[in-house]
Amino acid sequence: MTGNKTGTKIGLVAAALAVATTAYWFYLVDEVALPADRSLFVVLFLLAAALGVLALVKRTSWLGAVPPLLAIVIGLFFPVTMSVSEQIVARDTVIEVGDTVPRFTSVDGSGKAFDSRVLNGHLVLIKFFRAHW
Amino acid sequence: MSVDLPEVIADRRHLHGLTATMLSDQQLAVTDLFGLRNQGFHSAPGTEEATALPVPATLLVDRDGTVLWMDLSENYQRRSDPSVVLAAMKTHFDP
Repeated sequence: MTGNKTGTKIGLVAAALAVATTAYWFYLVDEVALPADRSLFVVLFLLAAALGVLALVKRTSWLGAVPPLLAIVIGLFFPVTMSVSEQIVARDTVIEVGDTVPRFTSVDGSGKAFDSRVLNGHLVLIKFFRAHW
Repeated sequence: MSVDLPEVIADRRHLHGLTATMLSDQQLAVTDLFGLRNQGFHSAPGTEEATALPVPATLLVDRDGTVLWMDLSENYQRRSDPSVVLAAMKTHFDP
């Protein structure tokens, strides 16, 4: 019984750490202030996952297993996304400062054709996004 | 410029009240003209519309079409900080 309580408590701490770290992560994302060095986040997320495992080892009640499982899933998910987030361009073909922007055509949100010639004579900011998510 | 379908762009424009010209580049044709296709792991959910994604990037272009400044994201979780872009605009567009 004591073991169950110990595991449940550790599980709650693990889940709280995972959720708090996630909340801080998205706060920084929203502020466009996510640091280049995200090793602190890796440590916190993996610590949450490790505490989740420890909680299950110490044994919990059936319901008490939910928080540590949540901590393990969250704690492993974020480090995995970080490990695959690096962006790589082909260095020999990427546009550079001093280059002339190539002429291009596209369609806008209403399906209307767009020709980059309309940008001639204007100062322009071009942003490439991955997608809406 | 994004790989979103035009209808998704229209939906998000309305949702967020955006006014800038937003273009669809499903096949990454424009992305490839700029050499901005991500060569790394394709970490986004695969769709029929987009099998790859551009590297998030911001470019400032002068009246002659010359690139004055650009910022590439080294990872997709970090985008161009608006304050950095605004400072670059002040430097290059309003010297």
